[in-house]
Amino acid sequence: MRTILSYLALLTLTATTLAASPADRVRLKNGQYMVGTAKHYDGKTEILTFIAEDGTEQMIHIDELSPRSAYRAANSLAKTAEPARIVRIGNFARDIGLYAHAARHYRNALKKDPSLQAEVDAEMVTLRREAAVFCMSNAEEAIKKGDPKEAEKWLTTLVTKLPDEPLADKAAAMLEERYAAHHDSKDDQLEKDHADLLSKELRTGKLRYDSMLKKIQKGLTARNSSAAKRELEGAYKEGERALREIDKVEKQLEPSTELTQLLEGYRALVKEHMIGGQLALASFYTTQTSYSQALNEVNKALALDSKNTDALAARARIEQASSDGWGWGRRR
Amino acid sequence: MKMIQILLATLLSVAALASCRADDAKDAKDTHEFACTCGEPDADFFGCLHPICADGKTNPDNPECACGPLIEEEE
Repeated sequence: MRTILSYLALLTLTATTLAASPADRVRLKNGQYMVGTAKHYDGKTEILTFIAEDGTEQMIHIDELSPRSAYRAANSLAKTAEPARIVRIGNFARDIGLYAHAARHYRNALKKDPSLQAEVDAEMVTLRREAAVFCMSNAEEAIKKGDPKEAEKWLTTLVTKLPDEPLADKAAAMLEERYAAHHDSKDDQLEKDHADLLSKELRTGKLRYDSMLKKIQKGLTARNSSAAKRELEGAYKEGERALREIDKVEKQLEPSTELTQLLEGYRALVKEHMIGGQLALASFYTTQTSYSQALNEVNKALALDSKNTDALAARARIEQASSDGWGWGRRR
Repeated sequence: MKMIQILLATLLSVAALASCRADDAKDAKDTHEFACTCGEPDADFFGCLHPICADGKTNPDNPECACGPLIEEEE
């Protein structure tokens, strides 16, 4: 009886432990997943030893794996590898489109061996060029799918994060062409429904709103970062003025459903654009490694909407960059 | 007496393992702000903000996650 109970206890423990430890999962080039335990990766032979779920030992060459699984196998060596190898792992990440991973490997290699600076600088040139192509291709894909918001996100990323890349000029031109059409139309319905109020009581507020849009557009399309920052800072101030006008009109006029609809509609639009402008401004500052300034700008956006997911993500990325280094910028 | 000890040890072990899972659940709650975006263009460009990924590990719940090594080699 005692033996049986001991056996059962041991069995329970083993089963619970196994259930708690997650299995490794790798994807093959043909799209199939293999689940089991990755035992070893040999950097010289590029062979991964993998114990499948049925207990059989599989020897998988890195070329048989999907790019991401192959990268994870190669990445197994990054912690202990010599700096030159870390650069090669970074190149692997870069060449399969994992740009943030690549930049991190380059930074780590440089921390271990600063004499690799020239080599890393050369690899970073390729990284920035390929990342710019990636941004442009995402933007063009979004345009094809009729998603102007997504297109604008990638064009803005290109302009603010990779301002020295030749494709940044094309991105700025595309933003210039598309921004007005996309954003000017956002208040079309409000203009149509409340033409009277907009031409009288809220006239100044509307002028401020339009001026803010113009400044954001100029900020995003300026090919000079000082001018871009100046326009975006100006846009924020215009947004503040527009919000003050909305508050003023709200206090002056008799409350009504129509008025509430108009004021709330514009308040939301003003804030949405102010947040977008602030995030672009923060992005410029991050690229220039002015992290505290970047955080200030994001915090202004969060003061307008503390739950805005884009602003929260931007803040987390700035905090990450300020501790690890942005690592994408061109050395001057 | 011995049997009771074994049973007690088993229960304690299971409870300890269960408490690890409770920590996972707490982590998951903390991660609520940032979902794992690995496999999406944003994560490829900016990196993923999910705490497991930000910690340099692989998120087992996302098959597209490329964060973290496949094998943890000791230094």
